[in-house]
Amino acid sequence: MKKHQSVYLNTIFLLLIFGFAAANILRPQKERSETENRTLVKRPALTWDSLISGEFAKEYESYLSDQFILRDQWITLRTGIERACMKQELNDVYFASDDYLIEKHTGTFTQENAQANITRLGAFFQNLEASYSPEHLGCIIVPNAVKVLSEKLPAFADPYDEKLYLDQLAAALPEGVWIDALDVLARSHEADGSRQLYYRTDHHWTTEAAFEVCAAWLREKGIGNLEADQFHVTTVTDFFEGTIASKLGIAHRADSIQRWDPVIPYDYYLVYNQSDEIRNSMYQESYLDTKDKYAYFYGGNNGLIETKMPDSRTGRKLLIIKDSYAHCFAPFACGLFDEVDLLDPRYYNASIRELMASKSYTDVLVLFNAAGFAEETAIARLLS
Amino acid sequence: MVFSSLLFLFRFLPLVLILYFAAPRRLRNLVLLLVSLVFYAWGEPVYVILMIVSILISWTGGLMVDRYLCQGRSKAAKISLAVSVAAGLSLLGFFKYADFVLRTVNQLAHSDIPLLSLSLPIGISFYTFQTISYIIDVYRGSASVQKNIISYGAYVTMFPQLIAGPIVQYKTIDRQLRSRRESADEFALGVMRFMCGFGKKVLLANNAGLLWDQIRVMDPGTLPVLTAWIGIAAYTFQIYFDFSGYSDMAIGLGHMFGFRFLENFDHPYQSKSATEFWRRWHISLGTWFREYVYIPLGGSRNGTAGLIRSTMAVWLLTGIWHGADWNFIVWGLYYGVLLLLEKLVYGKALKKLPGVVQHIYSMFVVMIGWFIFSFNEISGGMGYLGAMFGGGRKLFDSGSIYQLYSNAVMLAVLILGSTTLPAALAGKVLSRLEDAKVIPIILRGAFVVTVFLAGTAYLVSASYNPFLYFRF
Repeated sequence: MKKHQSVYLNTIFLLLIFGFAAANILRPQKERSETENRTLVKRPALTWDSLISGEFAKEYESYLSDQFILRDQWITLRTGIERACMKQELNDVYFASDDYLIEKHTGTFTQENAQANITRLGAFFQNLEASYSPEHLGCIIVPNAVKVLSEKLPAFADPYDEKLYLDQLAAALPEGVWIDALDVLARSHEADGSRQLYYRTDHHWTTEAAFEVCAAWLREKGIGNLEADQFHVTTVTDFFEGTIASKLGIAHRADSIQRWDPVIPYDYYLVYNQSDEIRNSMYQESYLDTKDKYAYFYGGNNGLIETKMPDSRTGRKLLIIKDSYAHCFAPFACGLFDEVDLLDPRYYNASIRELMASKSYTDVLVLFNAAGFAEETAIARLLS
Repeated sequence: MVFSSLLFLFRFLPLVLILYFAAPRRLRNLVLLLVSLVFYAWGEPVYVILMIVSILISWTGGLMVDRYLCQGRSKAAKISLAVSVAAGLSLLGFFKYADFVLRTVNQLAHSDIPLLSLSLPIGISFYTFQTISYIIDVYRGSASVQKNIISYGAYVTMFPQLIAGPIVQYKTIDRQLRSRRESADEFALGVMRFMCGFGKKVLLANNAGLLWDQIRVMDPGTLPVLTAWIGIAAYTFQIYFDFSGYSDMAIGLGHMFGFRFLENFDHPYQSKSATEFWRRWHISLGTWFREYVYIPLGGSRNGTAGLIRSTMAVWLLTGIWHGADWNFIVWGLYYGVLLLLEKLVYGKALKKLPGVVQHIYSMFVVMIGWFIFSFNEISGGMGYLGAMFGGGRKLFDSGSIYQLYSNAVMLAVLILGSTTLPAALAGKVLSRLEDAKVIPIILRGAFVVTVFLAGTAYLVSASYNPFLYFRF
């Protein structure tokens, strides 16, 4: 290397490290990341204890990475490099065909908790058998996109087969309780591949998929008939970039969210968390302006949401113990009950048994997505 | 602290460069010593004291050995040497091997002595070997004594080589410690070298490691042969790019501060025998064992029996040095046996075979070696070994094809990157352009900027940044 070349090269290197260092120090700290939907670590306070224990060092490094300038762009760059190298997956997400991002859920179904939850759910329904006949009990565990849309996965990809887990679950439940959502969705996908059953960028299923499964459940239990022409469909946003896209930190073909309204509307109101918070719509427009657009349904996760239909005279009250997959599902059920309550065991802190005793539900449905259910640590609370 | 972190690149290094080059020449060793202590203490706030004790012991030992030698009291010199070497080894032995010994005793005697559960002080194996080499060399007269504790401290703690080598022998940088010339050319050399290492570690080693991590946790009972070999190949590349990348960064940083450390790796995966592999892999460790164990034990001078004895001793120690677990001992002895076989039995025959066969043989034994190195649980390991030779009852399945094609680009880069090809190509291009004014600097600049940006992208986005050679 010649002298002047060395000087140039050194200048480039020093500009890079000093430039980014200075930019990082001078720039104001951010509270949270919209893309990642989480609070960012801020510069930790230095104390003698935290220094000696090494805690400060750890915190400081998280702070550096979290507050790094242009964080989102760096992550996009990294994803771009991976794609350019023909990588078919990143952060446990497949780059599937037709612009789908599909979570792989490696290890989810083989962990201990996944097995324990099977036993727990079985025990929960066996307890209910004494007071409910099977047609008033239902269990819907929705397979994830990786199973239903397996033909969209990269060639030769072989993720865990969720059917193995679902079969185990079905076998653990009393006769007549299990609703085979996989069968419903697989048929639907086979019948018309252009139907969008899962979001391209998010881990949830779509309203259309929820409709299919809800109709199947109502039919199987003899509760009622649900037909597509009883609803008119409105697209509420075309700019939904969900959690999976965030995980990869890439701009991606955005999804749209649909809402299905009954052609013949009915009156209802909602009581949130047994408080005086009363709402009169299942849909909350304000969330469409945020990153978390799926929270348009019911305003996201809550411990208990009671939906009361004052004019309904069915004599049936439904409890859905669920995760967020139920949020686009429950509206379809509301027309057929006097009350539909959504209970999220992760956020409901009182005794579920006592609630069920005091509210005298006629029907109980458990609805989770398969991966979420396998990983859920709050399932034990169903027995409390 | 590790080099391949945001903390090092954007806080520590800029600060150190300012302090170092702002300081007058006579204070620069002091600056190096102080920042190195901070560098070490960042992750190990308590063990820094242990390192200081180790430095003081070996420094005093060196002074005493030198003094007794000057006074002609060779016996006293020998005793001082023995005492200070023993002290260094005891610290290493206690902190690294106490639990291993206790566990073994418990197993053999069915006793229940509680373990100490000490965490291993980072870099203790490296800096202990450096201090020992210093005292021995002073005793042998091949290194001059360092009376200045600051310069000596700077030598032992010097952050570029502190936690993962190369194992720098004092005599190789004695003169540089006393007077060295930092320059723009040396610095630029350092920049290129550092960025090479940075790219190897962050872009290549970490990604190879992700692939290995995916495969190693698969059920060995159903693991197809192809997948098992892709996995062990990924680990083979991970450990090479990780470790040699780290050495490159150390050597590059050395250049920036005016030091020239000896090379530690020379394309080991191009070797044609296990013997050659060890001449090209972790050279500073091999040199150390040769100078301070193999030759003193007689080496090859005492006939075949002596050769076997000193070789096996060296390789037993090499294995133990790598970690306090049985698999490391087995791994060391494995190479001892291989090297003896090559020397005494089939080495000559091997050389007569076509080059390609020699390469295949070498990579085969090296990969089996890395397999032993990676599994410290015998049960899991045997399952995996079985899978490599058909225990999964399948040659390949769709999963292996998926692994292969979705990692094809990466594997190609890893293979090419571990040969001399990239360096040869770059050398050819740059020497052709010797007279051009602008193009070489554009090429080099583009390399630095590209690796820097890509590496930073990985560092920012990945919480995944483990460092393999950390626990030595």
